[in-house]
Amino acid sequence: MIRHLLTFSIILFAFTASAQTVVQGIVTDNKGESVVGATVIVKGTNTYAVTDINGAFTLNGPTQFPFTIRISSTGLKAQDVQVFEALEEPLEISLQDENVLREVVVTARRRNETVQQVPIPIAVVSGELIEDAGAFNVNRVKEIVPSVQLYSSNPRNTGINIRGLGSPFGLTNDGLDPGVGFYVDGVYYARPAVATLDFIDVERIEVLRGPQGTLFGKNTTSGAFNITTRKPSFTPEYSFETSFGNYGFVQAKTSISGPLTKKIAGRFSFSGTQRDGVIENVRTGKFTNDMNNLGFRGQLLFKPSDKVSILLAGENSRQRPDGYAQVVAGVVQTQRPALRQFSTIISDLNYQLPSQNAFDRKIDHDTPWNSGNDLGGVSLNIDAELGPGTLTSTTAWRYWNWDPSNDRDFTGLQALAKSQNPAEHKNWSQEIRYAGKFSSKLSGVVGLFYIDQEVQIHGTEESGRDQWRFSQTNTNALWRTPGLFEGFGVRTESSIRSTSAAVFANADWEALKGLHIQPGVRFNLDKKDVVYDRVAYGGLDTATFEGTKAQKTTLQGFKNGVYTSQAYNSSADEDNFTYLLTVAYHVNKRVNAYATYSTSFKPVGVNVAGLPTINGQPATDLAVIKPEDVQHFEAGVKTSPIDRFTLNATFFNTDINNYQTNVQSPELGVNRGYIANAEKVNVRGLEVDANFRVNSNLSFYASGAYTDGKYVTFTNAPLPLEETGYVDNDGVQVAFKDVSGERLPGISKFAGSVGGEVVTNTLRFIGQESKFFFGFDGFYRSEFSSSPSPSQFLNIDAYTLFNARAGFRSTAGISLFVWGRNIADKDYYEQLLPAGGNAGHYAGVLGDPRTYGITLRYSY
Amino acid sequence: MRKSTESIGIMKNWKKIVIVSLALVISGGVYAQGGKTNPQGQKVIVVTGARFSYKLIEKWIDEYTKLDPSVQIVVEARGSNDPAKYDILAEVYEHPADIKEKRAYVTVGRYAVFPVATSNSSFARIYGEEGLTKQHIVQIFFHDIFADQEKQKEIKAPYTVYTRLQKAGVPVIFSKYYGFEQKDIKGIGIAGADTHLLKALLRDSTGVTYFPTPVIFQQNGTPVDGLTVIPVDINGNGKVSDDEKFVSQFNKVIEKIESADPGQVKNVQIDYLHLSVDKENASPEAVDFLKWVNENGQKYLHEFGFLLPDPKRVEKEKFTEFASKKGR
Repeated sequence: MIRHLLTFSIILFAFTASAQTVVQGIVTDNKGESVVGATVIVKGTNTYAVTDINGAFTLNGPTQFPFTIRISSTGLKAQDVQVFEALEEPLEISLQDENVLREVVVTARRRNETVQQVPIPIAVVSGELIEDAGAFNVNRVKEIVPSVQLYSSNPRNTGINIRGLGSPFGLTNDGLDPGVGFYVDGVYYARPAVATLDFIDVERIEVLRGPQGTLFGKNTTSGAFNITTRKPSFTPEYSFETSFGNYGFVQAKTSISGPLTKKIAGRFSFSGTQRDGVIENVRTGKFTNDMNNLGFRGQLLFKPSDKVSILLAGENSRQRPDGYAQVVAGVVQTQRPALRQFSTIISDLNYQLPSQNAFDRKIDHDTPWNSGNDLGGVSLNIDAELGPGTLTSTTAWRYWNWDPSNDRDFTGLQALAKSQNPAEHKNWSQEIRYAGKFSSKLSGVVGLFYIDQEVQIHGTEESGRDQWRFSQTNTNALWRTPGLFEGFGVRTESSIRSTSAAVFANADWEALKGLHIQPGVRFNLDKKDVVYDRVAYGGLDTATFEGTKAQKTTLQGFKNGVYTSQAYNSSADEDNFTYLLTVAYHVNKRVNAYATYSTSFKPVGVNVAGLPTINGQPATDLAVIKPEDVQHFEAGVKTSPIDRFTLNATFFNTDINNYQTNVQSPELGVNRGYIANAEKVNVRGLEVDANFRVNSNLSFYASGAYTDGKYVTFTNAPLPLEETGYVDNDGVQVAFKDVSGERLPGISKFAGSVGGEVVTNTLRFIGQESKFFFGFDGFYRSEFSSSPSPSQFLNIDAYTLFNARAGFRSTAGISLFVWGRNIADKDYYEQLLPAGGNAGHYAGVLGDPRTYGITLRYSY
Repeated sequence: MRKSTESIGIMKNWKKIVIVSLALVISGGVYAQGGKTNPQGQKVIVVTGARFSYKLIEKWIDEYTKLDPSVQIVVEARGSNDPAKYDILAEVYEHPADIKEKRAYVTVGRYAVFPVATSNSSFARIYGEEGLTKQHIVQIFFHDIFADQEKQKEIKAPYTVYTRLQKAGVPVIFSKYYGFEQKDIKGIGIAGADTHLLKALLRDSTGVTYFPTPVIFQQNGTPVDGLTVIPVDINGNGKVSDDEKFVSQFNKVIEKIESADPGQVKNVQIDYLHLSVDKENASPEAVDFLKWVNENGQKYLHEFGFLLPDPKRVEKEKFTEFASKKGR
């Protein structure tokens, strides 16, 4: 009996054993990486297993179906699986990292990636922040991304720098290419003037730091702005927005999108802004530096199939401000004789500045400040999915018309009656690239780029009745000759035709698990042709002057000291090969470390603002300046130490041979400056970015940058303003000095941003789903030099700005919020610039005072 | 000694168990092998594939074997990924190109995928009336790392997503349509078939999932008891209007979907049921069966929740030509 019972028991056991459910599976995270040590437990039992090094597990489940297993691992969201039948194949279970849900997606490498995956220091500014911050352009981005610097005394003279590099500090010379690439939907915007325009319908701004020439068509030796706008939608949507603020600020924005046919969708966006001036011109009683901007953007999206997308876009922005006035910020004692000091000059002319304090925001300017600034273009972008990647063609034609009127002596005196360089710029560009993921371990981009640009400049510099006193170098009575300089000037017709072609490639190869080798190459061709023709006109006709021959010669000599005719042609072409190598190691899902070494060239430059004269002859050896030769190293780590928190750090070191820099010339004929090469500069620094989303209601960010930029060698630097007129011990006038080891202009050693937002859960408010929010941000930068050669005077003090916004918003319905910029009403300079002729006074570009307003938006 | 006698007995029983088990496995394996003959002398044809097509296929088999009793056609849950082990594959998604070129296809009918919810859930009550837009669907069903958290819509009722865990045609098609992969679908995974998913769903008063029409609709054209089909934004205009709220009756689904240009229908995944044989090694009996399905199969589609194919996609003649060479 016992034997039979035992036999029965064994048979029962055997059948039970065979009936037991073996559950096998592989656990991965959302990136497809094995999750080691995950716990797999049968709910309601003590049966569990732990995943091995490959993320695999085997579990003997209950005999009865269904049963539930729970798979959990620290930092990942637990997943329940209900098992209803015996499994024939291992389960594939992907655990989601909740942290990923808020990661920012970027397209910098021409494919969608989360920002933490990309081994490039990138800052992202979202469309929401742009929308909620009132008037917004690149100037605002620099307050959020502390490695960005923007210097703009007007749209023409705008320079965007990243880590202090990109454009020479000071005035813009059309003969130089910017080192920071500015891309909107893949289209290269050649003119930095675009930085002064309000963004329209922007979805996201990515700021990439460091050379990016192997990813982008045009040279990007110090970084790139990669801007993505909102595209036409096949789902109807519209948004109307109007804002009102102090200083008479009124802004209207509209965006409408929807299907036109089954395969064509359109989007039309409009923006109009007006604001009164913030600087009083005591001479006219008008307030200047107002805003008068209009912009539109139209897009047509044609989707003939799921794999092909064709986008035709056109846009125009028009600015007609009474603006860009600068205020005399100070007067320095130069090394010139007392006769030539600014205070003596204006005293002799019985003139007084309207205020000794620039922040009284008063000017006395007799030449109107008004400017026409028109930018626009059309582009055709075709994306076609081909094989494992996407083939993209971007064709663009763009223009920029600049028509200024400036008072460049910054006074009510008629020293410089006119100083303006209207310019017409046209360019077309073509980029073709293929980007994709070619296997599980290889992805990349390869591209061709061509751009043809032409700039026509029709400049006028004209002296007025008071010029004689500014130009007077001695006590000769002939300086007082009536009409000597009145109406005396130069008209300049110059042009630059430049073409640039490049082939570039960048790959990402996962050589070993987590180890990514990322080489990139670029071959570049640049050609520039310059025609410069400057003709002096007007003033006293010395030939018919009733005086002695000696007097005539003297008077002509006086005139020649101010303006002379000058003409030259020059051309330059260069080709260069550059490369990049990045090694990145995804240590684990929370740590991505990388190091990059890259070389880069900024194209050859040409002078089109007049050349300084040596013994009366133009220094034609300065007509062409060498390309910048950049060697860059950076090492960084992107981490997510805990869920919802990212902390990234980058160290970088950039050496540039033949750094292209501005030289301020005391000669009026040289249109306030020319460009030259500094032998070598170095910029190094450390950047730290942190983002912390405490929960769905509370988030913070903080960014800090330490940047140390120096001229390693620059033996032929211009004299700073206060040393103008320096004469050495031998009595020889000195025009240059050695500034090797001195700091570069425009770079604060320390800069930082901090901000945050508190937002409620969705609430029912005025009959719609709304979220109330309060957001703030602050920006600090330490003192920096505002003179190409370090000056004792042209330095800008450290300043801190605070901005805030609060209200409620709805994705479909009404949003209403108030915003304030520079809410502490901090007085600060954006830039300091010597006045033409180096008489000793210098002007400041004033930061805006406190502005605030209210915005009402309706969107669907 | 007594113990050792018992041990011998146990050993003998073990042997019996092993032998019987082996015999069962082997006989089952032989029976299951394609092109074989059963003890009654009938040719055995094995069909496998998407399980929600089995009822329709069994109907076809019933009708066909009335005409040709010399074959036995059996439907078998797939036990292997090797297609060579089966005479006919009935799939609901397109094969990769390398497989496709080696097989001959009969494209019979279509199915459509709709979101569904447990009828007694407040989710079904609200969204059965209001319907779901694309944004709703993506937000409810997918882990979307690209999602803008600030623009998330309020979901007005609690819900729990259920989804098939193993790789299967419908989840693949559903997720691909919205630009995701099956692994990105949120919720409780179901290791089992659609019937299991349905069973799990109906037990949860907050359950939501997505189902193909053959699973949703009964032969009388109404949804399975306890299941509410959720209307979606079919014209893609960002809202669900009254004329899009027809999904609770299969005859309305037939009327609207069959007559529409496939490109016009948004947020509904429509795909084909294909039956195929290996071009080189197809058994003549299997080819003949598919030839019959090719010519007569469509008349049973609606009864089992399938839709007529888009006439432009059906290449009846192609299979007829193939059958003329490979059939009996």
